[in-house]
Amino acid sequence: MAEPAPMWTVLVLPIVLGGLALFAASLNGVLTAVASGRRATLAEWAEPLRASARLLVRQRRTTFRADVVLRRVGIAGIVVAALLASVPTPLGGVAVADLPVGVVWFNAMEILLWALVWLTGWGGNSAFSLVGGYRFLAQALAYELPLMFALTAPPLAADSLRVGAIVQAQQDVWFALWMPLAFLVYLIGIVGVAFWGPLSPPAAADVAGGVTAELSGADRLVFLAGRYLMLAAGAAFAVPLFLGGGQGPLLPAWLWSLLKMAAVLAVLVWLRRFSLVRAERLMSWGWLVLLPVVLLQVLVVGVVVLLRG
Amino acid sequence: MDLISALRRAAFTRPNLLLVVAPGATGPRLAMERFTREHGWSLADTAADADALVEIGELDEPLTAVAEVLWRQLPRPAVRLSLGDEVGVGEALARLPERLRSWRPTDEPSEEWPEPPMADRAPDRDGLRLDVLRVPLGPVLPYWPAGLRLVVDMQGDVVQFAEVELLGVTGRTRPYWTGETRSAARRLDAAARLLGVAGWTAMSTRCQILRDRLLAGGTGTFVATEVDRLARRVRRSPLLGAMLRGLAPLPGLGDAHERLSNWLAEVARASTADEAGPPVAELLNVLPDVVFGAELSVVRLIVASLDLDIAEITEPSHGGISHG
Repeated sequence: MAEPAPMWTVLVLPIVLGGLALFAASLNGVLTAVASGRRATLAEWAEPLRASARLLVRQRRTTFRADVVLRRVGIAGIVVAALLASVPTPLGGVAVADLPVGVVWFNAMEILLWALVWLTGWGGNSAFSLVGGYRFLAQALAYELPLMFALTAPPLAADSLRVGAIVQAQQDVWFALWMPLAFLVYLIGIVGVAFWGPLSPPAAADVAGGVTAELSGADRLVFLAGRYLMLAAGAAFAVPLFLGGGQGPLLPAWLWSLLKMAAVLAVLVWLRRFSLVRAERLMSWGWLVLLPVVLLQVLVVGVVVLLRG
Repeated sequence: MDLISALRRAAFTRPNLLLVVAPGATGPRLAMERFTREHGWSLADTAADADALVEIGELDEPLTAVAEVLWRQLPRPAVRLSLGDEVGVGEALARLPERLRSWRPTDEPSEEWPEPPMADRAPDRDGLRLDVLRVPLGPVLPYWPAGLRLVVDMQGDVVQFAEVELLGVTGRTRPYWTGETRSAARRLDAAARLLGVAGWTAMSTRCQILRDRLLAGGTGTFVATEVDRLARRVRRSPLLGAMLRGLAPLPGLGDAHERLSNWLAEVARASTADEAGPPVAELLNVLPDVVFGAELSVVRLIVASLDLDIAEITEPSHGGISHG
């Protein structure tokens, strides 16, 4: 079953994930434009490309006594973590590596952001960027445990941590349909990992951009790209985990995968229309609501698996 | 070389602006916000992301010093311009992309950084010795009142001491928000700031659009209906409620959530003249007490929820108001 994936998949992964990230950035730009009363023209869709050109031609500046090495590790590391996290994510039936512990692998890569985002904030030697870094850690304490339990539900039902096996176990019915709470908690967790929408206080305007406050030029470009890539990686991984992977009528499997990924990503991007969640509220919601809910969900999945024999 | 020049062309079609605003220079500030919104430009959160430093209104010595420090922090290419009134805003901004494209590194200033103070140690509320860091909030910060600097001592994320400093108030400073139309627009401007700090940018932008329509002489009934719809969404939002309810309750004004609801309700009813509110000097007096013990994000929300217009200070204040 686990035949090694062809080498070209290594090249396809950054292209597909990059395309999804660009789609997310474009959609974000268009939503901003429409909210500002402008028309959704082609120029607005292409705005992320123009903004990238702007950051590329601008000077990179650092702050006084910045920890340049740690800061760069943080900035560039997010891109790497997002790409690595997507290694077990199949497009159609093909993944770069369908690891026997694929779900754990994704979890491990996503958790790297605890260190990477904080390093970016800390390395800047500026109060606001440091606050942003700590805000990320504070939020992570609230959503990470529910996210980890949400990640265990599909492997429990499929009796395997291998992503390919999880997709096969959804031939009759998608996991999103009979474990919707795990799916929901997973999406909330991904929004937290990418500090997006209501969970974007680490990079919010009230602390002048938080972790991004001191980033300029190429540094800023790489960091923002990493954030979109992480959001895309999370949306993409939801497809084999909860939405039946490449399964679907008429269209080829890879296209079904891509369409589902884009749809999940669009929903996540759209969440930016809500206001922020205050850190202490998130902490109580995370531990008093999300965690019991997801534990109950895992219990239900466990009972169903036992009854099915 | 063609690729480079094409990249440069595209790069600066929509510059990011960092604003240093003098108290009372609200007219040009609003014109600026409107221009950027309609042309898809952005206001930068910090110097690191700004292409241009825009000085709005007449800056006094302390504000000029602030602008000077920021100017040195702007990554190059960068352009600096100052705008006195709203008339020239469109024209000056329209020339900005070309100025950035033709920028040459000639007048490169020496790179000097203001050294951030080291953290000190002091007993906290529970008697533990913890790091204390003095952080100035403002005068250049997104959605922040022009001319206000709130110097806070932070232990972790908790404010242990706060001091108000006022910058930019001169003998020629005049408040902008006078008359009935502008009073209504002021409520929307304040709501836009508070919603902006709360991270509800779509709703904040909506308030700005309605504010500008009101100031441009838009028909009162249309704006009133729109504001009424907006007010209902704001009142019903559970996320915003969880953020603002119970924050900084003041006698006669309610908490931050009630203040926001009242602003919008006043505009929807088209009757703002009777609600004068306490004078800004009084609010500034209580501010250090109100933010004492608050977390940083809460401090930002409280300041935004008080709608402080420093230009209403009648005489320039020296030394500031402090809380020990």
